[in-house]
Amino acid sequence: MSSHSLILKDLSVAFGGNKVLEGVNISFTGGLHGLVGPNGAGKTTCYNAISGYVTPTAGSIELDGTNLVGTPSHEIGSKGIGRTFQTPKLVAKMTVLENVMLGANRTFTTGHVAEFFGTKKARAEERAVREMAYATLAQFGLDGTARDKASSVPLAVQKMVEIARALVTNPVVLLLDEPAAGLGAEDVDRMVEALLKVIKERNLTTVIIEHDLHLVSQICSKLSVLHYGRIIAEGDPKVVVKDEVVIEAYLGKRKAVK
Amino acid sequence: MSTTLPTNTANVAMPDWVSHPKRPIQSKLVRALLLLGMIILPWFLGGYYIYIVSLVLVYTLSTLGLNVMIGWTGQIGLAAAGFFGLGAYATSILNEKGLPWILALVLVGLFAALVGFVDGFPAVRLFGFFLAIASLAFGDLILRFIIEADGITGGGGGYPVQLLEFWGVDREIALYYLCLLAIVAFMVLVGRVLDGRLGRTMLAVNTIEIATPSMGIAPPKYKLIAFMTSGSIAAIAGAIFAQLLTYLSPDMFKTSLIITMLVMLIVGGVGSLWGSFAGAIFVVFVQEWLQAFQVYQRIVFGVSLMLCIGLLPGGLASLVERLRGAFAKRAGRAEGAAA
Repeated sequence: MSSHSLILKDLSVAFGGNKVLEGVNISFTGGLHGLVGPNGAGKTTCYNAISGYVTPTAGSIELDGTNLVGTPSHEIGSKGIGRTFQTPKLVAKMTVLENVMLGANRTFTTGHVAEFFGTKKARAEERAVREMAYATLAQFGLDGTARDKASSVPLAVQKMVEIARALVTNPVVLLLDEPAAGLGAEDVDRMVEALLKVIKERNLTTVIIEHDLHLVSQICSKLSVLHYGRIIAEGDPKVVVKDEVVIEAYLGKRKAVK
Repeated sequence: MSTTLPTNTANVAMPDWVSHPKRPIQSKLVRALLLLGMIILPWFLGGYYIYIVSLVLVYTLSTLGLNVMIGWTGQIGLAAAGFFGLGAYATSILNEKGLPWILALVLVGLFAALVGFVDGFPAVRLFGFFLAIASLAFGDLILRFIIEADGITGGGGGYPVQLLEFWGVDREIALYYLCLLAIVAFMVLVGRVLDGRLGRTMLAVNTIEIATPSMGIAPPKYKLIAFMTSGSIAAIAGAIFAQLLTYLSPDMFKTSLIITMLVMLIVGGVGSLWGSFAGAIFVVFVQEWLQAFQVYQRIVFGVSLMLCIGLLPGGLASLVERLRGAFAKRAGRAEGAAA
């Protein structure tokens, strides 16, 4: 199974006079790709543009050669661009399992009328999706929480549930927005281990926004650094994190102490 | 399945509750006992009380539609009183024109879904108060149409309903069973759908709308389904209501009716089908108890709304959960003390 490509060409996004992204060129093709940068660099806006939540002012977003600009956001979701959010977006009153099942919406072939009358096929599909959602939770070691209400599980679990839900959508490209933020070291290890396994199994093109440079340099095959809406460095993570321009963007200019 | 499932389930030990989710036996027992109680009720209650319980069932049905709209998709759509009136008038008129009542009911249910689509199409682009005002106006528009089309509806003068014949069975008892059949059918069908994929998606559109497109879900589609379902159920409830009341007047479907429906919904519990039933019992009880004192009815409704919103946001339906939680806590404390 070959991996899918997502290519941003001269992508610009502006809110009024505020230019958030300016001529961004990135090519996401297979493996785990890190997208980093200080707060306000435009990382999440980049995701929002890819997902169709904001309309770019210029440039194109090509999924396997097809331009996505102008496509409604739910159609972009249907084309297989899955994503997570900085703060997990789960339905509090539903169980963890039901939240994951939400992701499988586009997998169903039976309509709501068949569901209303409880046809055999509709019931079989519902069962298959329940089992698949449970198996996906099990990959993250979360099968024990499947019956818990989403509002009652800790943040770390909520974040992993959201990733599981995005995986259940059967994405061709997966966009993760700060999945490790707020997680303890043990939870990060568990999440990364499960995630890397799935990415390898499915040969899934995955982009990760993360502030932990140590983590991204260890797990990503490529890194792009955004600063004030522009790409300032790109390439091998181990080289990029030592780049003077990148260090300056994160920590500011070195000043001689008198 | 059109696409292969992304996760292999073969290597996972699948618990039975995942593959075959079942309702707890206690829940099944309570439902069966309640249904049995409702079936044998006419043996114990006199004519007037049977009428009152029938009214509770019709109100429950009307609130069921509103619950799908407000409780599941979170849209404050307030045209239900208009749809209730539409169903009452349209079914009665079609029946009088010679169409069998049950056929008229089905046609009106479908027509109301279509009108719900017309109401919903512009309304799904509105939020909060703007949606509330727009849908309230739409409901009022239906009522205005009923008043103006006096050639067929009798206008302000009212409309005597052609009564159904039940092959010699006592009319009140037959109507009661008709209401019971309707509510059981809708509770089962709507309950099944809301417990399934459609219900999950509607709840997601309600609470995490921003995230739904990334799962390939188009929120307007599900809001429209809610508008159509809600309109259709309210119209069907209205059709049965007309048979209970035997005489229709536009006054019955005024904006104040939507307030009564909201009281049923909020006092009973938004987002709970059983809550609609509890809310309807409360409203009918207050209406009958304070029949002679219209103004006190409104005070009771107003105060109960405030109390529920402030102290019991889940309504009467959430009391069961709260009591269960309190008992579990007490049992836990007792266990701790024993240890």
